[in-house]
Amino acid sequence: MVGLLKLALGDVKILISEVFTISLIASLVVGATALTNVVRGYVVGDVFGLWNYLLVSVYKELRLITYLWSIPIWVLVLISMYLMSNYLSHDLIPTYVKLVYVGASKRFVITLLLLRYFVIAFLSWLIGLSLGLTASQVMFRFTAYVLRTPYEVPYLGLSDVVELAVITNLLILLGGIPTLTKLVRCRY
Amino acid sequence: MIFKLIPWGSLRLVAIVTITASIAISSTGLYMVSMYRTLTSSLMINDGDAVITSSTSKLPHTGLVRYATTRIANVEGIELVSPEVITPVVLNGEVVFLRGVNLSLFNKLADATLVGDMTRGDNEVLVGIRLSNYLRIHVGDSYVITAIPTGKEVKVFVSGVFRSNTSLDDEVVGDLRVVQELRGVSPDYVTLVRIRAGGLIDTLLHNITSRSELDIMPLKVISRFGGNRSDVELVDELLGRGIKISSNLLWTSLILVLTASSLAMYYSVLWSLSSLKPIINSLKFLGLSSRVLTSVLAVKSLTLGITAGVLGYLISYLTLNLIFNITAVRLLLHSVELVNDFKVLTSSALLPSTIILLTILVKSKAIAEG
Repeated sequence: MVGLLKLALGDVKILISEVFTISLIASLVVGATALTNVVRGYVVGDVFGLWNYLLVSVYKELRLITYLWSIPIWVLVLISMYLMSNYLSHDLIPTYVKLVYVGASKRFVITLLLLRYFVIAFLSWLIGLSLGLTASQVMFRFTAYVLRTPYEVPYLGLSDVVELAVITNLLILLGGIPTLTKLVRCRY
Repeated sequence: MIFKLIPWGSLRLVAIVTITASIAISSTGLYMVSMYRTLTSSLMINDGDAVITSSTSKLPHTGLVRYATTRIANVEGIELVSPEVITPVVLNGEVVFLRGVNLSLFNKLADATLVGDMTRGDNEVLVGIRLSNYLRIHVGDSYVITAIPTGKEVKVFVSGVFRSNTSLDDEVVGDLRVVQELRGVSPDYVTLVRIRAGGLIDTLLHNITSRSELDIMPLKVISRFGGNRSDVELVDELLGRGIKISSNLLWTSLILVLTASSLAMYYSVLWSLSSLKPIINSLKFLGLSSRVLTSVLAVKSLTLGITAGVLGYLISYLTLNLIFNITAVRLLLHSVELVNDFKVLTSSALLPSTIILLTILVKSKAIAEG
């Protein structure tokens, strides 16, 4: 099993570069979600009579502003993650082709490729999540200290964590489809 | 010719990450600049104006100051003194700002184009063009407005719609005395005092504050005015907190985007260099020196970084422009207008190229070793 994993993952240095590039891009969207949640968490109770209209209006505006900022970041991250995952097996295709040439079954090679994609997707999600959340909290604390503004904790709900896991894994696997197709069509 | 030795296609990954980073940096930067512009200009009408507001209120819009118009107006060099009261009102189901001004000064106050007539009676108002489009209000319409601080209702007639290209375009403008009544304050108190004195404003403000017989400074929030005082203070606190946290959010998102993008670009260059290893080894085998190789990579990356930066800025600007046109983005009841900012463009173009260049220079030894 360890041998199979080593074969699937290839050079550790390249793997680290790949995982960190994708993780850091994923951390952008993690941070954006965590920061958006700060404003989403505000609930204005009906305690100020007519003033409530003003409070609700302004907080709705603030929520919309944070959402609108996070939308382009989401779209951008999704597209670039898909494109990056296209390159994940770029360096390993010659190795995979050689394996097929020396007699390995296509099924074995596809298993190796899928294993590689799963490992990279999982690590990217985990590292991206940790980095994005930690960075947004540390930076929010830092700016609150510098600007002398109130501190709120940027957070992620369980649904955000699951959503990010599904999206990261799905996009990275989708990005691998061109490589898989090439391998399936290989005539060796 | 030498630059063709390393094909552009081999840097495709760096291009994807760089464009991603540039778009993230540009859109966050443009967003931030636009929001700040809206926040800072929501009380300003003319760039040369000085606006005196409450120093203790968290938000200038909710604070009050006692004013002495005649005393200020007597100071030599002052062209205009305009006491103004701002109060939130419910109009057509939406919360908007109603600004009470001395309507005889309206033409001096803003260089506005008016459709319809100036107000003639107390219950006539002028509506800014952006608000008129947003709420579909036309000249000749009548509406009942409810003042939030006092709960008073008054029927108003829209006598005109104006375009001033200032924050006033998002507001309703009415008579000062009527608005003071709706705000629940005595005639001595206003939200702000606007002073216009051409280029002499700093000197004049210094003169005003240094003259002990004038008691307008330091400014203070009055302790007695209509409405429930504790509610107003809490609302001021809550609104001020919301605005401060939002500004903090904008700064945090900018720092986050800059940090994550820089690191992502660093790792993407490492990833690309690993993929380029066979090409680099072949070129070295053919006799190309490490210095030339590093230079070729550096020039290509620099070109890529700057192009991606400019492209990222253009994409961000066009995307945000589209979003701002589709959705009415408002901050503190004022429309946010997208600003084209040269500093953001420079950062978007220079930051990625600098990071890529530095990574290549740092890794030049590894390139030399193949």
